[in-house]
Amino acid sequence: MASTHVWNPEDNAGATVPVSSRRLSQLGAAVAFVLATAIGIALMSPDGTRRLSHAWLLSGWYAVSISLGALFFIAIQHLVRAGWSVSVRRLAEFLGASIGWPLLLLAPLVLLLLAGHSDLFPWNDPETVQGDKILEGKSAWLNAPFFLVRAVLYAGIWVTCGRWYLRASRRQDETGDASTTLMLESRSAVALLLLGITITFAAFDWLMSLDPHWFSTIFGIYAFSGAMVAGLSVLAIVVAVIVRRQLHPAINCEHLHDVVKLLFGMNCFWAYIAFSQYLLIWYANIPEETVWLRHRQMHGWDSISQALVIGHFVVPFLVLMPRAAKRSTRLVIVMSGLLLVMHWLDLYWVVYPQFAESPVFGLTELLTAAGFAGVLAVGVLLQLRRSAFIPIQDPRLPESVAHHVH
Amino acid sequence: MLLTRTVLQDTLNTREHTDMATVSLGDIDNTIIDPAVRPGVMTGDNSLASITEQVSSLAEQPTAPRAWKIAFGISVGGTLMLFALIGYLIATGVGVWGNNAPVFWGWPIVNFVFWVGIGHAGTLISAILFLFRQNWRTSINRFAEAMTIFAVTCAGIFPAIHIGRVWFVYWLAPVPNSLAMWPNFRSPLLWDVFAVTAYATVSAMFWYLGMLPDLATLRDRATTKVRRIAYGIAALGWSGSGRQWRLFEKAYLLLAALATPLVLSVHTIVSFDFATSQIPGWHTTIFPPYFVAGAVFSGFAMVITLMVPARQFFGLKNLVTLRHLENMCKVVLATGMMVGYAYGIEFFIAWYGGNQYEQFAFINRALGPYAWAYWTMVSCNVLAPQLFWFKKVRTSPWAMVAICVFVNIGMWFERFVITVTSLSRDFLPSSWGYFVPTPVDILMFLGSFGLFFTLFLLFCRYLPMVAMAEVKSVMPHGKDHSCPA
Amino acid sequence: MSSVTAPPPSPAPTAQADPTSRGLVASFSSVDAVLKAVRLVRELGIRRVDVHSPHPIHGLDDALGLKGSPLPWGAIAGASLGFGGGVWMAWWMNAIDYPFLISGKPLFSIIPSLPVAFELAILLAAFAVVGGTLLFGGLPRLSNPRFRVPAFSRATNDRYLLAVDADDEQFQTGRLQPLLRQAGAESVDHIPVENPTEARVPRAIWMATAILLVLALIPPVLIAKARSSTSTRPRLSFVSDMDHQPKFKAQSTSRLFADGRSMRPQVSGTVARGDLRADDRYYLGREPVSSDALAKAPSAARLQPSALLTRVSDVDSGSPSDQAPPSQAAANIDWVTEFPLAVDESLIRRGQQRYGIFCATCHGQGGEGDGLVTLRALELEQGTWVRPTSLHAEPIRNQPVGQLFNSISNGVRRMPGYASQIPVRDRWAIVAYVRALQRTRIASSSDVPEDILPNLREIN
Repeated sequence: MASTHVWNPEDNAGATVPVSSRRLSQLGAAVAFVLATAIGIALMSPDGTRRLSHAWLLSGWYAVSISLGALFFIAIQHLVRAGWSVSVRRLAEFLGASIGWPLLLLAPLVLLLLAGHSDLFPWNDPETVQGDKILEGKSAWLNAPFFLVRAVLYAGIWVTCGRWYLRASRRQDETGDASTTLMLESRSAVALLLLGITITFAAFDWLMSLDPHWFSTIFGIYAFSGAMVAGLSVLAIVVAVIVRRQLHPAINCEHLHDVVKLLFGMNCFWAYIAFSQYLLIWYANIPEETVWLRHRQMHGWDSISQALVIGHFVVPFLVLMPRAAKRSTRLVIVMSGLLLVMHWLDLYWVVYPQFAESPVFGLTELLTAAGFAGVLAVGVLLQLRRSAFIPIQDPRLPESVAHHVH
Repeated sequence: MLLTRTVLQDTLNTREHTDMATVSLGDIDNTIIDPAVRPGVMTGDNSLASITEQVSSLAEQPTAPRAWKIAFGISVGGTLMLFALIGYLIATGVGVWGNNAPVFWGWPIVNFVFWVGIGHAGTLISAILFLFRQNWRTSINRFAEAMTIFAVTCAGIFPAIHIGRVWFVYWLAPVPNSLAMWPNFRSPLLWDVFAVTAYATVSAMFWYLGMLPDLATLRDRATTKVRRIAYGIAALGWSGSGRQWRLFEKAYLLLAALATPLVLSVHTIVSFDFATSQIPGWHTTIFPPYFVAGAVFSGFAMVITLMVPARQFFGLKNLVTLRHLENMCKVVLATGMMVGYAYGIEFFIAWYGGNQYEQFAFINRALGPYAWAYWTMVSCNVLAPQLFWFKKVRTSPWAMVAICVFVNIGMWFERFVITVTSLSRDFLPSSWGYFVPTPVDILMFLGSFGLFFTLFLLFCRYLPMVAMAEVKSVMPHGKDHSCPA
Repeated sequence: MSSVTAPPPSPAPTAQADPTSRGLVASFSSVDAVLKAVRLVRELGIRRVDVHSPHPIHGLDDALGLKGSPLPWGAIAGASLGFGGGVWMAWWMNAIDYPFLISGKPLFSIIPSLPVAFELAILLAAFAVVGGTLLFGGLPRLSNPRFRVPAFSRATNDRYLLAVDADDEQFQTGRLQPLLRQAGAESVDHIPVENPTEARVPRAIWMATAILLVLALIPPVLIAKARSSTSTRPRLSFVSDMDHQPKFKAQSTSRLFADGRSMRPQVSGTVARGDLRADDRYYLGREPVSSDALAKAPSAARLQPSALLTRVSDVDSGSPSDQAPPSQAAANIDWVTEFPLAVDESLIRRGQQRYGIFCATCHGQGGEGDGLVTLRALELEQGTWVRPTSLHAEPIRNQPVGQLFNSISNGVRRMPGYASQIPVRDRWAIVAYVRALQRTRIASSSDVPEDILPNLREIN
């Protein structure tokens, strides 16, 4: 079907989705309510603020990583002059452009840091640092003002990048100027470079420094692989829903197949990076490194670790391997959903052992996760109102529509 | 912006006098792009027969060209020197190398990692680019795969002879022996044995299977009995039947899917040789992806280094176009940035981690007695490829050869820096030493190039250098049958 | 150099229903034409039809009705086998069959087993894929009747050939030929029936193969012979390794010295440092023997005075001894009764420690002859073990210290001598400790020092 379909301009009809303002404000209110409830619960329970700050960071990074994954996807597609992905690229652009919302919600954590709170980051507590030679050595990097500067830098780059891609793409919707594609291609090299460096150092700052003693050089790539899995999972679910409901002829099973192939590959990459990190630390057995992993193999964290191995890698790997599975919308939705849960669990596994002796899960975690996911959804819907969800004038769109996986 | 406009205009002008289905851009530069048009894999007017003729005739010349003979003579000289030195090493002992306390791993491991890394580009081109549906790979994959196999051959020599008593090399494999003992499965060195063996075997099978249709072409064109029998046996009776092609395509896809994780695992495991230890500068978790990126980096640099003279000499410019070379330069640039990223992160974490031994190891790298090697590495691997940001450099063949030679030098030095700087500074300062290679070290490394080029020249002379069947399958003929899988 | 532009040899003008034909081969110049022809031929109900092309043709599988492929299953089977085999090897070889601990790693853990398991999974899967391709593709097949059709040589170049087997029930030359020509075939040829002599592999190749096989058998045969037979000649040394070292070995000749011996005798009239051992009391445990007594001794003993002392049997032990005769000699020896060295607590402590190391395994910690080795050996009841005499037995208690020393040095009955393992001073220390041990069994409360006496309590 796909190979015979020829793109006509009248197909643009139906590429825009009317999102009613009422629905949007209802969703916004629901998100605000959910997050407010989470804050309320935290304020009322003992140790609640500390817990909330961890949950907040976890959910915040979760939402940000989905957007970052989408941004990486866009940059790579431009850079390699991909044709097949054009019709689904706008969806990723929506996700990428919405990165500002979760980032904005993360801002209070930095402000608390400036106010001297060390609930989240022990290195912000002068008493902890004093006398600890290693932490004293790091204080040039791990201090609240510099942390703020860096956080602003990362956020600035990400927001600019996300908005820039969407704006340029939308402009092309109107002008149909092929040179926009060339411009995006050449600048994507720089964008990719900036994204790669910022996600690395952001992961060091926001996740790795939760345990200020611990370090791992691969951690930035670990964060990148997780973000790619998350971003592609969301994309796969959206594409699967579009294909299932046959919302638009430009997005079909062929595109789903390729998105899921990428997801499959990136998930294997995540497993590869996670295994490499684990094996090297396990093997060299140097106390200052193993302590981090060791804690994650005790006090109930061991079952989380095992769940990650099975749920994040083994099950999706086996299920998504056959060609038919990658083209089945139902299976793809289930597996991408699983991967989204697993990506949350992966971050939980990174963040929460710094907070709690054993795994804890309650309303705080649930509500913040739902809240941040909702925030991202609101961001996407806001963008969706404003333009087509297909780059209707992209010079490679006909190629993408005719795309056919052999 | 102005530039892009001009480029577009040029492209559009070209398109006017070309068939829309077959965008063959003739002799003009096919590196310019109109996003709406996919340029063909080749330039010029090519037909199935012309591809067959062009590629096969290279392997059918009754006498070798003079230049080939000279190059072959030099290479065989190098190979003989290598074999003589191996004989000398076996008769005398590994003491003929410069390896000595505390640098027990000297040039042999450096050469091993260097050559294995070179091999990675071939698999990347044949497998990963295949999975990514990069049709342009069809012009260069045979060439790059051959390079993989020869590079792995060169690589395999060094660990095999460094064990000292080479006649016990089978102890590396889990075969029952008179000692009733087994190899240590917890050792990364054993993993290496499995990884490199599996890699060499799978690459060779992949290469050979992919070559069957082309060997059949040579068989069917053979004019002498010897050639007919030799290529006839080698082609195994390939007839190009629908059933065979169906199996072939499926097998090719499966082998690509298998070779992709395999190629990643090989240099990952090579990196484990270092990173599982506790030696400062060796033990760092980024090693696996960093080594893989470095391997692809050096491998692509080697492909370019060989490809540019080969396409010139064998007249393959219409098949291996400037666009191919430009794409490869971009891969070199990208992987070069990854390697640079790893250098940077290693340094940052060495400082951030607060481990004084790690900090010393890195300061020693940059400022210690081997600083010259370190800065050679950084200049060749990180700075030199930056020139590839400029399109002018990416499209001038000889400039890219120069840069790629630097990259290869740099990647050899990377392994040297990792191996020797860390080892030469033992935990016990009284054991510190400065590694000096012996003439045997140096000549053996040169000899391995002799072996590599010998095999390579034989390949160029007797085997189809370009995957004819694959190129034909991406040519526009009939309807849209442009994808090999 | 062959030319691609040369037209294919002209086809036979008419194709008859011919017993020498195995089918038809039609040549087409485009993919579309051959696909169309395939559909036409299959519409006739002909199933034994195949297309030979220089590159894979998309859509041909459907036209030929090819479905499914066993290769993915082979790959999965190979991968599972490799993965399982890898883990199994790591476990069985390192944790079960030859367990060895190294660098504090567990004998078996899944983590370090994964790399090998992974590599083997890929390797075996690849073997399965390549093997399956050859197997199901009917390769290698060096002799194929279709190759004999001249037009066929372009199937690997630039033509698409449609081949129909004469075996097919619907095969009719008369119907097919015009049909194929109509479909645009450039030529239609018969597939000749194989001439048996032509299809045969040339005799020279058989001969060469046979000769090579025989030659290849020679080295393994030689190796097998060498491994299964004995030889008086020194072994072949391909790699000198450390077989030949520039040094003299015992009992070998040397041209360096006039007497040709590489072992040098002691210079006459000298004693090597530390070898003098002039003090018989200390070194032999007996009073010095005068030269007269030595002269009366049997000739063998004269040559080596210490021979008198070796393996003396304990006459007074009461147990049936293995060798009775030298008993008189032992009884006649004038053993020292006093220690030839100063005995103090540190010497006895040393003796206790040495006794624990060398003696207690057989004699038992208390000297009762119930050491662990003894008990174990008796338990095995092999009948050859002689239980050591209790050191508290009357005859032993009455032995002079010199005789005890001699027993330790040279052994007695089944007990081996320990002179080579225990230095002289330590032997005397053991004797002193044995004396102390013996004393414990015959002591009375009066032997106990006054200050310790109150600490004792009675046991039955």
